[in-house]
Amino acid sequence: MKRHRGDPSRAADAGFLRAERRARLRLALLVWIVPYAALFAARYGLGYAKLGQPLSWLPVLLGLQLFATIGMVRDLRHARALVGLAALLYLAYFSGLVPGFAAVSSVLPQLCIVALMAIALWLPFSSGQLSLAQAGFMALGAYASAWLTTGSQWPFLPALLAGAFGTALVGFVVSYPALRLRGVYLAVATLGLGEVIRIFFVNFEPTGGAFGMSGIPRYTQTWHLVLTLAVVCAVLFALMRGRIGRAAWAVRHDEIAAAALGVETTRIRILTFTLGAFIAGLAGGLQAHYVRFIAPENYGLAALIDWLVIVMMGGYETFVGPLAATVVLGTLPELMRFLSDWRLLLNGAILVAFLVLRPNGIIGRELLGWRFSPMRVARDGAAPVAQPRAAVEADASKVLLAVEGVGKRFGGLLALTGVCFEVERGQIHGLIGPNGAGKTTLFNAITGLYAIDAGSIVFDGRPIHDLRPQELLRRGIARTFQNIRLFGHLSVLENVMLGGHARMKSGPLRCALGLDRREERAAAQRALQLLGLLDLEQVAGDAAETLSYGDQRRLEIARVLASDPALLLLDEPAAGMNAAEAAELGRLLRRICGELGKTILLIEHDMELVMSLCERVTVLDHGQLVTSDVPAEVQRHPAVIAAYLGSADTQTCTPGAGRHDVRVAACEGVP
Amino acid sequence: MLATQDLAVRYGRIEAVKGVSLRVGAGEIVALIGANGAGKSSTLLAISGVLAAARGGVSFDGRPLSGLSAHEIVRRGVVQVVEGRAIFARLTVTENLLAGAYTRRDRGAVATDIEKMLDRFPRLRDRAAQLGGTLSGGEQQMLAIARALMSRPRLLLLDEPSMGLAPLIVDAIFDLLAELNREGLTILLVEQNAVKALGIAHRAYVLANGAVVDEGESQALLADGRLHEAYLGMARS
Amino acid sequence: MSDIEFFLQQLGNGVILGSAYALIAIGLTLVFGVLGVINLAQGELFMVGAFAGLVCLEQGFGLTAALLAGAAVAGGVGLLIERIALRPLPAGIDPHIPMVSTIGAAVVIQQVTTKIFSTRQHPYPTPAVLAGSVTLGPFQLDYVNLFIIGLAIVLMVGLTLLVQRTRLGIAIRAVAENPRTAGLMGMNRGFVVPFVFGVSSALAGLAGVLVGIYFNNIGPFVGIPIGLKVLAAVIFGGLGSIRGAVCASLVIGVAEVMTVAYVASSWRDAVAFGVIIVVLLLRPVGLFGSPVAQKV
Repeated sequence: MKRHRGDPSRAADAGFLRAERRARLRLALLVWIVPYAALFAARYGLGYAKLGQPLSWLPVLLGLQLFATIGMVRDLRHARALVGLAALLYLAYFSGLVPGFAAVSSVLPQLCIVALMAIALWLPFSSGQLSLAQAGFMALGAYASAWLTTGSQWPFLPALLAGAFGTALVGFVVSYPALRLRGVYLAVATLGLGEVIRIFFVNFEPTGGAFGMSGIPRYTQTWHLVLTLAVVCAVLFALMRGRIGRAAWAVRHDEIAAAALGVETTRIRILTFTLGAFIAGLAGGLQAHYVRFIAPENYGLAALIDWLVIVMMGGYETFVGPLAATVVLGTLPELMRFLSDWRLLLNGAILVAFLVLRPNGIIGRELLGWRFSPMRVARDGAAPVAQPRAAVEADASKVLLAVEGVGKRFGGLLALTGVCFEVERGQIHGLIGPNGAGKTTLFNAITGLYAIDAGSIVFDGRPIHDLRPQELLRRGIARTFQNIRLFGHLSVLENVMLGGHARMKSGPLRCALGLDRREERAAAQRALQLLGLLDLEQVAGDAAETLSYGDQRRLEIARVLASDPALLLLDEPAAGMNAAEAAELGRLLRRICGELGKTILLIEHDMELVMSLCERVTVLDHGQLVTSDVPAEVQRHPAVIAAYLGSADTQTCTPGAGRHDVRVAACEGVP
Repeated sequence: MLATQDLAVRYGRIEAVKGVSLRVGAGEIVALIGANGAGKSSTLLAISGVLAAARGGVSFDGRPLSGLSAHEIVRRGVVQVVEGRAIFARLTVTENLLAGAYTRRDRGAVATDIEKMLDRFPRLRDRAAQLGGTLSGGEQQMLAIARALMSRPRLLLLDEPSMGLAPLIVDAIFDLLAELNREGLTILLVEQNAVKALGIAHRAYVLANGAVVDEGESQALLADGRLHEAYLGMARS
Repeated sequence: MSDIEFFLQQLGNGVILGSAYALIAIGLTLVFGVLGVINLAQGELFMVGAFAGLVCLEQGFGLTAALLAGAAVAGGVGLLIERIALRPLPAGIDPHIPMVSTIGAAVVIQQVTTKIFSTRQHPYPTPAVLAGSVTLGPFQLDYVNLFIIGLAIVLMVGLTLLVQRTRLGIAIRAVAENPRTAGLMGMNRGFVVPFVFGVSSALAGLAGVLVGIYFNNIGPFVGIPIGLKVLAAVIFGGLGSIRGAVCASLVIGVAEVMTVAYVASSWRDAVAFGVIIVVLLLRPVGLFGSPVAQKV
């Protein structure tokens, strides 16, 4: 599958491609030539003999350069070939073919521990939380388990698990307040937490204070470490490849869209945070019983930076990124034994260099060919699943949504005042009004993003105005957004499957144990059918961001349909479309209404579309209801015409005769 | 004075403006009207240099404007008042005015101009030391215009000056624009409120779906029913 | 010395330390305002300036030269950070990335310094002009302390004037609030951002010289605790607020000194971190910070 990079046949794009190619050539020079040039200059120009022969750096730099190049090539096949080459290279190192490089057996334990910690750092980050407290969690696990084995003579496994679960408990407790923090604030707060933990142990005499704890029994064998790493990877692979992984991705990239699709964002964040703490505690316990001596200074910022470089360089999309980067960076100390005190400096420089080169890391899902729901699974279809038809009970009321006297204010600004209208079942209802009339505000109020200050919103006979977006989705209300909130790097199919997130039942445990496969398959098939309905089946496997604009709009609609809602709220579905596309959209929406029995409320500016498609139209202006009627009447309504075209009667307020002057400001009305 | 030639603007794959050619003569008020989403704002943003044109060019006084950065265009004498006013809420009224005069070097004349602005807008003089964020919508619009005037532009671009404002204030703003035009300022105005815009404009262009569908003298456009169709869909019965 | 006198003396020490922190914190908050990035290398810039001043003093140049050297070297390094670690980052990436990039820069700076100056603590000479003290009642006020507070006040006032009163200050605030509109007024973001970065780094370097003189020693690893304490102050006071940064720095300086005096010196760093955590829990945007509204 080729990477999409736009249509090169466009004349305008060709120049852009040339410039891009030049830039990448410059980058290649920077990665491959400059380091050696710098080394030569430092060695012979500045006479810095400690650096040794520049060519002896070859093993050190080659791995790094290869890794960097993987991120620079455009073609996936080339990239994968480079991955294979790099794998061969490291195999050569590990097999002892490189002089001076120890065989794998002596490097492996350390690599495993670093890999575990990198994964512990990666896990919360995969749901958008950069937790820099992982060093502190590692310390907790290490000290707790060491305490139990040395002081209370516990056997290894119980002590280890006690330490790990204890750390997970701390992580769980911390994850709640962490929910309130976002982005860099969370990173800083967790950084503080990690340091507080370390300082606590510096002052905690029973564990040796600053001098640390020694005499820990050597329980950890190499195979323990390898097994733990393998199990962790297997569990994460199973966990993240289905519903939970999709949800974590969604929370990371667009929390608001995720919530609107029914993803329980708080649960995902708590889950990944706690699991990350667990793995860190586990790694801490394992390492303590391997190196036999632990001290607070081991759990400080130097270690954290090691793992941070690995995660950033490797890539946040899957755990394979950190694993690969652990191999590349973890072997550096061995390769550079003659320059061990340059390691930290190199780490810092590599961090900056790779962030500038590839901010999202080198290894991605696309490179691995991974998906959150393999197409294969979907196409393995047995019998087509029957289309779930929203059965309308005989005594169901005609009115599906009733907006009664809704008011909303933002500080001093009255965004909505006394808005009243009804949407009937099976109807296509339009919501129009000039810019700033309050249409999207109303949508946000209906879908639980805003709380209303007055009035009520009743859906299917029950009030809904104080429910969360996820709850509303379960009741049967789904929405699209004004600016498309698709998950660009996910495939079309994955986006639709996210739409069906709330309809699926598999929790983290079922996913981790691999018991979710049947449900995944069914969901994937349902999604594929929906795509067929919307004529997007051909592009089901493509990344959403590569779709044309019109296709993206249709994908949004497919996604909201995936949760089988009774009411669809569409925010400007025809924005940016030309007349033909808009007409096509109109036909599509009519089909959705008719065949699937849905009700649609849509905001639109395309009057042709609204007037021809909607059975009823509500007009807002300045946050107030103007009218709610059939299209023909709305078009004739004088207040509607005034709202759009402007009023013909001017009310100038002149203090003096005939002088139109801004000193009229004294007569200003209510702002 | 200002001319655009087949101007096109793209957002990713969508062409919001599909080849617009218009002219503004010195001393005129020209209006760009049309329904929401017609591409009016994008056209203006392409002229003032905030957005890069995908195709076509803009020229001012015969010299090309396209390709220049926004602040260079300001130095040439073309200033835009953006949609939603975008005054600096955390700066005072006076500081906002100073910000408008940023490209000018003649400090003494700037101070005089500030005095003149505050004279012209007594409401602003009352609030000269207050933060921009505390002003009402109408006052903010006046501040935005005053700020734009501080750089002594020869052409003023206005994007939806009536948006979110009460009718009386809209009148005051439009009266102000008419007066500024009488004093010699050329104005290109984007407006949804067609009637108001045509009330002060000499000529207008009607945009729909990113292209010019109609143009002419204001009186002519007001008279026939084509406006109605452009805005509200099917022809009035 | 009585208990009250001891308390007041410690209070004074805390204010002095806090003033030095304030100089660094103002720079950090300014950079956040204009670039939206928390520069975690700020502590290292402090350290680099201190060492530049040290070299000057050891060579026999006076106080002024040391201060200028500290400011200039730190400022230069800061500009390098902006140019190499921040500007090349593409727009629209994960907001954590720029901050992590500054972590990388911080590590590089620290390591290079240890290569040049070794990892040990260096004694910091007191410039001759600052030797001595004046006695006021039961208190002995060292010239060093007076100078630090005095210079800190002058710089803070000067910077506030720059930001509040000058044309450039208007540009800085305008670019911080709305870069696009500021560009429409002719303000060049490509100049304002490096300028602010340079000034903020220079201030940190200056503070480094002052703190070096105050403690009479400096080491290459001082950047981390300083950086984190200043970060605590800035978050406490609200990212982007100069007033908040100054107030919070004074509070943290006093709290730190009091902890050392009345509790135990090994907990001194924990105070700052504890503050960060507590403040963020109570008010996720800091005391004077403004919440960022998200458009739906």
